[in-house]
Amino acid sequence: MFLVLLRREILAHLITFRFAVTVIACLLLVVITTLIRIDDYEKRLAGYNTARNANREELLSTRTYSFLMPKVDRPPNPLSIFNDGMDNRLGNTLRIYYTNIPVLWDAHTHSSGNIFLDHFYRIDLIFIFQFVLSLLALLFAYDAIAGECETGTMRLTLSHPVRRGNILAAKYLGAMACLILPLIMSFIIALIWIVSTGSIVFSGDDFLRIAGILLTSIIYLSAIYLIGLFISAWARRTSTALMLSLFVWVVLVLVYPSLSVSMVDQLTSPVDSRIYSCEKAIRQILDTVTKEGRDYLMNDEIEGESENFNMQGNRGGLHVGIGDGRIAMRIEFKAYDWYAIHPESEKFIPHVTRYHQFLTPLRFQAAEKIGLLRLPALEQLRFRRARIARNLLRLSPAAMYNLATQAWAGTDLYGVEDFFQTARQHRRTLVNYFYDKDAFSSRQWFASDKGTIDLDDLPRFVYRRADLRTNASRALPDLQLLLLLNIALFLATFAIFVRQEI
Amino acid sequence: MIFHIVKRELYDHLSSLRFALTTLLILILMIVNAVTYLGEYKQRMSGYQKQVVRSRNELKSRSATLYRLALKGPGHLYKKPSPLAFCADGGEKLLLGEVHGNTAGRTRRWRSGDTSYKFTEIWGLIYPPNRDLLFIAESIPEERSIMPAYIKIDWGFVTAILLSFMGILFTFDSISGEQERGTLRLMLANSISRNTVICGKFLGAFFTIAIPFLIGTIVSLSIIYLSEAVQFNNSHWMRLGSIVCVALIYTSIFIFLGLLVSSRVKESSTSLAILLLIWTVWVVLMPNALGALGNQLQSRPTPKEFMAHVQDSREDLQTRYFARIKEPPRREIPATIATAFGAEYVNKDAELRDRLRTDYLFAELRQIQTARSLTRISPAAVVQYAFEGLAGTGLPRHLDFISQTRQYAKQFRQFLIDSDRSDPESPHAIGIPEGTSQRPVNFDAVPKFEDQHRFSTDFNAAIVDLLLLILFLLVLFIGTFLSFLYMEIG
Repeated sequence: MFLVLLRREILAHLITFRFAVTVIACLLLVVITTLIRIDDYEKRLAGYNTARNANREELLSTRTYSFLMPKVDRPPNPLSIFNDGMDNRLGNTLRIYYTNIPVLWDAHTHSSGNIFLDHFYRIDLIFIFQFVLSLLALLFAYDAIAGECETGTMRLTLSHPVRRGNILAAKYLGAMACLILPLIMSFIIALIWIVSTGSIVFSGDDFLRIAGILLTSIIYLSAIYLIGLFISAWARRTSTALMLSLFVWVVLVLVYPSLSVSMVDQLTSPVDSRIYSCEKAIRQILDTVTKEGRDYLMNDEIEGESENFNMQGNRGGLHVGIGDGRIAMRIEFKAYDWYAIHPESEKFIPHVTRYHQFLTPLRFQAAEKIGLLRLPALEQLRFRRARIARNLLRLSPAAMYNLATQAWAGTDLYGVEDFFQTARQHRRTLVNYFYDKDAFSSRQWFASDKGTIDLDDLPRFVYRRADLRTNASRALPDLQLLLLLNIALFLATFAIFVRQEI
Repeated sequence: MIFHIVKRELYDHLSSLRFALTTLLILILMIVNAVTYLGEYKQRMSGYQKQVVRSRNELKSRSATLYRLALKGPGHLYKKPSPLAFCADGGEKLLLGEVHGNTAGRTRRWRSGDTSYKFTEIWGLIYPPNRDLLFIAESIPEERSIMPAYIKIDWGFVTAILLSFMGILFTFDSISGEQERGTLRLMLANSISRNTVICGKFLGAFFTIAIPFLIGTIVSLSIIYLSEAVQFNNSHWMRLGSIVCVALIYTSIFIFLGLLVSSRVKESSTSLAILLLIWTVWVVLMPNALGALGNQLQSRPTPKEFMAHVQDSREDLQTRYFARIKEPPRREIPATIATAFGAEYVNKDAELRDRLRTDYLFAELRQIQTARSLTRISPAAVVQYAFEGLAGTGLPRHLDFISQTRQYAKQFRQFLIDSDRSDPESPHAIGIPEGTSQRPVNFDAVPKFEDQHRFSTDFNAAIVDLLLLILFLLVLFIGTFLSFLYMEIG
């Protein structure tokens, strides 16, 4: 009996006009979007490759140790075709100074984007499923119970020895089968298109991530369908059910996400008083280091209180300031390159070496200390509002879906943050490399006149996206919320339907 | 008779659930819009006023001598925020409402015989982000960028999304539903012409939607008006009136669309499915998806390429100029000629920079113009642009602001020339310390920039969109009439 019901449901859905129209529209939109997104990805990848090569070349032309400040780039995420997330909005090129623990806000974007075009929302595949397929789910659901009650077929069905739970299950499974069909077709079409371009190579893990996205999509559609089914059971009349579910759809998918984020954006203040104390503490560390350096120069036996000890010769140098504005402060980065030293100044060399040997480790330590203060303060300053907005968003299943798929794709905030984590590790390796090489007590720290540094064993920056397990664990909270919503809605619908008089 | 039909339709709609729900939603959104806007407007306006004072002081500190003015330029020029931003936000935060009349102050040294000359580059207009200065070419992401992306809730949003949605919600079953129930036949059996029926249906739906929208606008306006943070003048009321008219025209498009589909399709549920799909694609997806295409269609040099181009062109100009004076080599030239020559060079250089920067800016703007033209296939985008135009926000306003700054720059240059001419002792070679008049400058006479909101310019920007909307309306109107006229009623 259950199978008969299920078959009837599936057939009833498949032959409807709305099904055909929606599926065709969905597939067309998927094709167009995939094309646009692939093109976009390829452009970004090309930009990344040029930037990376330029940076590599620049690094290899470094002549002294103090000038080592590798620039690293974040490659575009191929899964951003599915959900763009933060991938394209946050910094993707970063210079690693040994005097600074890098954070997201130190990065720049090397994209050549036209700022005026940022007005347009970026459309990705998830956007389409979120709108078009959820609409189809609601159209399946609104008359599922109310409609059958009105036409009287429900009474007819119930006159058979069949449990109400079975009817509900058959309805749910039948509709879900018809919803999953276009979903899978869309995924296959998109994948064929992506793979056939040749420029995008997915690893095995990527396919599993895509499977995760597919799973999340199914759970999302199921949640939307169950919302419709619940309304259908509760409202009893088709027209009421239709109006209510469309209203709920507009609110949940379109209005609420914009409303909640814009409220948070405009009504909360970005500045926190705790920030000032942190700024003060950083300023203190900065002053201490500057003072130590100055005192050293004052107390040594050489005349003149400048870092070049009145040496004669030709030099290049770089001085990156400490910056201003909210917690942008860091230890000054100073690089030296004496490429020719007058023979008479040779006698100063031991002093210069001792000076750097004294000061540089202090600067390293201060940088670590500042990093410890700066990281949580920036976290507090910048992420707090975004976190509030995200949590508020989670009242809408559409937003949960968006966040969960971002996590699968690795284009969420954490996915981008991984890059900076790697950059921080790379800075550590660089510092260790300096210690191993005894770099700052060597002549090559500040002078290249006796040969430039050998960069063969310089650690290379390698960035890999987080592994599948991490992605899954990040997607899990939203996925669980969606599942919970599903279960709650199913139980509620069941409770109403069982007690309903027909 | 038509009056009776309208009355019946209105009664039907006003007592329906959909009316209650949508009215509630519109009211909530309008109130939220007004409240959030008030806080933001105060902040923006006080920020703008502070900026204006600062730039006035900047200008004053520069007007010690005429040369300083000619070297440093007028300083920062700011865009005045529109008090009607609650109607259409227009992405004002993204557009960076400032133009700089400044100089990087790079100096070119040049020796002739024993004398050494120093030519410092003079000011030009810089449109941020300053793509030709290396360190700004790469932009740092700001705090806002980690916020989830959202569409601003303004009148434009309420109109483009909700009113259109209501338009199809109130009409999808107005013909197919009556046909299903058989009441349409009954009605036509009386001596009512089909035209009257369709007009009645249209007007019924129109008033049903117009009522909550007008209530919403009145509530929103009274919150803003009573707070006394914003002063409206006649021109503002005119703009607001036009905006409401545009919103109603836009709503009519979707009412006719609903009637058209409803009269072509036998079943209400099919009609709804088709309408919802058209709505999702036409209103929600298209304005954004086609915008991304605009980027693909029009190419533009990257900031890096642009930077290199500026560098090359300037070096080229320099070599050409200095080659001219170096022949015959090592000739001692009189100081007056050197001054005149230097002035000519720095002015030519400023002109070149200005031309290149403007070209680049317009290449960027062309890109978005293409994107906007493409998206005009969707009435939702058209209505948004019309709102922006009428409210004095968004791209049209930004273009007007830029053209005002350019006009001001011209005026400023003219002022320099005029006040230099009035001094008979000056060698009239502006741009070089020795070549410019040494008389003190009267600060009151220096032209000051003030951004103006000009209704005629804004209205002209909106007129294309307005006409497009009317075109959409006419096409759907004719389609609906013909369709209903030839419809078979069984």
